[in-house]
Amino acid sequence: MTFNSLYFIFIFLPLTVFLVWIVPQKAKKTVLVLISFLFYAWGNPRNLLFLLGSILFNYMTGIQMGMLREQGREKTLKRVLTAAAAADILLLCLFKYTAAGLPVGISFYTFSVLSYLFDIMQEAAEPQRNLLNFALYVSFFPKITSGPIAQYRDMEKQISKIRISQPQLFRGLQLFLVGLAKKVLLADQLGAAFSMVTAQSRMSVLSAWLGMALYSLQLYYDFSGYSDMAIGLAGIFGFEIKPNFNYPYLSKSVSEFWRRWHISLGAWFRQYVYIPLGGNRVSDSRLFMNLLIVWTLTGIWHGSGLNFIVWGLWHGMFVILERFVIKDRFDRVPRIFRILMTDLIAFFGWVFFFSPSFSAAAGYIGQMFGAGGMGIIDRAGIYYLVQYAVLLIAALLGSVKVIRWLITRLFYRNSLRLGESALNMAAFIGTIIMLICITAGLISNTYQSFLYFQF
Amino acid sequence: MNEKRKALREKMLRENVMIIQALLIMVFVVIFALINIIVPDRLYSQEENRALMQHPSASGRDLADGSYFSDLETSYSDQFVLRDKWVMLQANLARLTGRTELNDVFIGKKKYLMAKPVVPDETRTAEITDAINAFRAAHEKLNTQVMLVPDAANILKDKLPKYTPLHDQVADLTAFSQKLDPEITWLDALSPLQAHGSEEIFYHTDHHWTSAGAKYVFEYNAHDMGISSVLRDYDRYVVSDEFEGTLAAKTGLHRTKDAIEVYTPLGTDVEYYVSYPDTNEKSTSMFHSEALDQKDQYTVFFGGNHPLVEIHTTADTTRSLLVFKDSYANSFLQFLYPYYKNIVLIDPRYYYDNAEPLISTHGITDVMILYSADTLFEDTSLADCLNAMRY
Repeated sequence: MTFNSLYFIFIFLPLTVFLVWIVPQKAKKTVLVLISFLFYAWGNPRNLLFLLGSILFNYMTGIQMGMLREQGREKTLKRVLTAAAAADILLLCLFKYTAAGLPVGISFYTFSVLSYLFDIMQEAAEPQRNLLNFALYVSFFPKITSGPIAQYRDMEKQISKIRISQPQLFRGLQLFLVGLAKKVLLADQLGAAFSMVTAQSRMSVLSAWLGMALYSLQLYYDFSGYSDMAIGLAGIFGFEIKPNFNYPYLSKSVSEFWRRWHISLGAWFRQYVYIPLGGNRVSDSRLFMNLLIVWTLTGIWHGSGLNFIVWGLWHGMFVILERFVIKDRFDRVPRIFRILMTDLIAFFGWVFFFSPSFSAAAGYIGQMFGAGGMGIIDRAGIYYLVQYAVLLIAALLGSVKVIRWLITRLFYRNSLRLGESALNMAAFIGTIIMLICITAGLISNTYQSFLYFQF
Repeated sequence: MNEKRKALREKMLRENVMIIQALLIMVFVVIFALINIIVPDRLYSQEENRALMQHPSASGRDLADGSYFSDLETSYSDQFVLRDKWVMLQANLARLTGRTELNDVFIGKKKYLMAKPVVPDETRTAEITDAINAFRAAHEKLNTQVMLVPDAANILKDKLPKYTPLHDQVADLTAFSQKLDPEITWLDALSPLQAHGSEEIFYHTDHHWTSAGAKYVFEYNAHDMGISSVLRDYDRYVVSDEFEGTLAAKTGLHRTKDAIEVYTPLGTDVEYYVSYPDTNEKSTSMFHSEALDQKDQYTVFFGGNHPLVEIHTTADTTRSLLVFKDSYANSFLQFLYPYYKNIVLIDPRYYYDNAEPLISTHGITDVMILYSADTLFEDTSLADCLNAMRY
């Protein structure tokens, strides 16, 4: 089940919230874990077995690591950690590289359990003795399928005692709505636009660039919307998870992009790969290697194809360039150009991301430079541009903070000279319109009218 | 100090808005959740032309393979209160943002909705032309004719949205006709439709041609069909003026309604009756007025698609016609019946028998393959049906 399903929004979520709120404090955690299991098993109960297995295995590993530490057997501790982490990663790879049907969210929850083991190793957290707490950490339903990959050190306190509060509930609901709006009103529409534009057998330069822009925006709204929903949901149940996106398309460099895009993944690699490898306090050649390793792994984490590795290295290449060659040389270049340059690099990178294979990506890039033989601008390109102009502009403005800035200016900084009650009324009406549009969008996604009989 | 007060005020305002939004979400969700429980479920969607998913019952196996849960989600969205209205709203919102194409339908000028042409698949088309040619080779004595009707978008080009990249179906038709055995008569539907492009030859809300469109094509081709004295005077009846067809349903846009006309030729005393072997019904008219109470009023012609339909007439002729067809033919037959003794209609999409014996039992002299190009280019059943007749 996904958060943007009608059943989730109108049945599963309200019932879950109701249940967790009314049961006594002692039972809340158990209820939340059981609901998380149900959520995860939804649609494919087999997957739950893998999850349960992973929870038990890593729970016991943690306990064992704690014992070894008490006994001061650091060497054995390291060996146990290596073996357990290797087993977790091996299982993940096994699923990724064979056609065995990847269990939902396994990339995310594997990284969660690894974070737990590494945190024990780095002495950033204690081994969790309570199995229920650990099960909640791994399976907590808002984050299990698509993250954010919350690090164990940040969750350790929160899972030991569930504290539900009304302000958090309200903030969570608001964030959930924002995320849902991003997903339904923008990402889904952008996705449909992208498939239409790229369904052309041969594309003009205009169409190919339009397709790239549509996908780049779709991916941002899809993922950041889903992250917002996840963080909002976590808040409803009293959990604080750090933001996963921070206007990445406003980044002035690729390194900055990765501190603003899928923040939890970048942080994970920094915390558990980059820093253990020595961070930036190593020789240049070693640093170069470290960066290369991190970016290759980042690519591999996203998918098993060569195109994902190329995509990871594409970003890695610019990070390395920025580190060794560019340094602060561009600091005097106006901000806007640096942002545009970074976005161009990021957008270009997504071509490897959305293409089914490396050669398909190469073919697409060819069309971006005229290999489609349809010229620079053609009728079809103009047609799609006109079709989606409003959507595209709205999405672009939203992604570079302009819409947020406008709302703040107009409503909160009182440029409209609205009184408090008028502002509240505007919020009231605006929210109702949003809810209606979202519901209409969700239902339309399932609409399929047949010309002939379907039984 | 002033700055600090401003910041405090902004914080308070944001908090208010947050509370309003949070409460509204809860109220909205709870209200619709309750309404959905109260409002009874529907079995069938007229708009979508399909059975809606019902609330699943939990069996052990469905629980184990997870299908119970996905059915639960599907049934919830299928049964959501005012489902069609929500879709309509979404379609209109999309239009507001400048969309001129929804669900593979162009939103044209003059309230025309036009289906996006089907792009033919070469191997599939070759299978069809091969099957037709083989059929003709095996039935040399029969006069075989083929007519493909181009879709509205390729005829009413001036009503398409600006810059529409339109797939050239005219070229597809030409290519198709050139692959046919020269002994087969190619009936040209394109020219008469183009000539009358400013008239109501296609419905605004449906993917079919109108009776008027069919009439022009018939009159243009009658000679090639071997009909010498064509009746050109008709009684014309408007049987409905509130037809909303498949394209309105597909887009969710209900901007206009169509009129349906039926024609009866004047100056002939030929009578006929229609028999439907699939339902064992017989009727003295090909028009089914009860269809006008239903959603798909195009089924006024023959009550919709049947695997097999037979028309027997009092015409003083030895000619009998076998038609392989899709629903486009349903409104074409009103012009044909005075000229044949028997007319047998086969819809290969629903007809699974060998049609060969029908040729001798009904004394067939002429064969017509009559399809809309969009159906034929996606079709697999015609080739199967024709190939089955060789054995």
